[in-house]
Amino acid sequence: MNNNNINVVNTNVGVNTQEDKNSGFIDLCVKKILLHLDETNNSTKLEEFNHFFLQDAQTLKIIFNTIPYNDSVKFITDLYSRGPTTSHSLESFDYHVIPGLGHVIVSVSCKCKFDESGNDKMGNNINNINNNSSTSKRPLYGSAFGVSMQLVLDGNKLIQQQSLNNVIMSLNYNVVYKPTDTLIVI
Amino acid sequence: QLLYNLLPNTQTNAPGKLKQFFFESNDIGSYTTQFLGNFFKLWDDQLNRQQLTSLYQQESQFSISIDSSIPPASTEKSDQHPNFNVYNNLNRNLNKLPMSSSQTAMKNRVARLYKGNMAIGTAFNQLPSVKHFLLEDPTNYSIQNVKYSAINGMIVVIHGYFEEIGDPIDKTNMPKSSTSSNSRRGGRYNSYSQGTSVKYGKKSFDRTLCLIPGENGTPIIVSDILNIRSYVGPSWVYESEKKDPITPPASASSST
Repeated sequence: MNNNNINVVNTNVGVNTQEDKNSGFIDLCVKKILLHLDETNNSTKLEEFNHFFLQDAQTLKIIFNTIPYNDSVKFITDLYSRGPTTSHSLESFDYHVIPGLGHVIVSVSCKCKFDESGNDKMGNNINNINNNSSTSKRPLYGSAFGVSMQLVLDGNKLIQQQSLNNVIMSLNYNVVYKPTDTLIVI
Repeated sequence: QLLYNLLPNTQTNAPGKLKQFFFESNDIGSYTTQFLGNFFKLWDDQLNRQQLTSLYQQESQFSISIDSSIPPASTEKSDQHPNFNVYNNLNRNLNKLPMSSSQTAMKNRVARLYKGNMAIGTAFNQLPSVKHFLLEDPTNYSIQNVKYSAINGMIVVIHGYFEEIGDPIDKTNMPKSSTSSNSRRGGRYNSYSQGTSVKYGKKSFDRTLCLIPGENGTPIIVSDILNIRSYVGPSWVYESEKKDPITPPASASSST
């Protein structure tokens, strides 16, 4: 079950050009992807995120910190089973629509903070130092890492059909700088 | 203390490291590095930068976005006082250009997307003279490259840095000079405002190029998105981890 239809009515009040319409859809899509990257162990949300990706292993290209995937299930499983909770904040993005194809190339620059409380995404202590269930599960975010992400989106589905299903054809995500005052190793 | 390693080796579970390069296949890897070497050699020579416009066609697009956020002070070599004023009138960061129907916002969103080699050439002349260090300092550059089968092309992403050397050839889009030193910190979105004064220095960048094959083996650049951000040491260089941050080396004893 997926319900990834886009509702941009509220975010595009007064927009009356194709350029603005495109920008609104892509803005929403980028922000939804960042939210899903920060998602914790919510199976409904994970399934929803999986539907964002093109379900064609021959075409789909995912590069996550230089690790390649062509299977979105494997990528999402690895993403959620490794590492602590994250918090992405969008700093800049820009896009170009490839004429004739309708594909959209998006370049995103953002910051990412990691929960350094010692808990993973499911709230379990990573190092088994303290298994006291009464310990607060509230994330304690450290200094920000820099992230550069490039996307190739199927604009025909995203803009024409106003759907987020199967729109991600390519995702290249890389940490481009790292703070020194962090417990996270990358 | 190792709290968590984000890139464990799936076979051995040993700590992994970010790789400097990712190429979908070795053949496009050597092609890409050679192409980028030639590209930036021409880009850095301001008088010859226009030669690059021959790689762009009428449908090609170019734009610049500025990520003006400040990296954490704990990040190695980070510039805590970047100045992006020379790019102010070229910046198409859609996270900051307001999604409104105002004429100015709409005009900027459209006007700052350069289409066709003539317009792209005009934009090139409005960018400052710079130097990349791919030959002198190659470890500070990272490249990812994937095939883009829908157009029989490829997407090339390069992360690295350049040094701004001097003014653009065409200064029409430069901010009007101001004699007041109106510098203040803490603007919108953690931006750093320095009035209209232009100050050059090092900048980090992410550049996304979409290439398709052209005639005689020369590629055509269909899309070129340049993201410029505050200068910062790269994540994929691990030399600094060899140093012990707590115990200073014996030879570095302090003397007053």
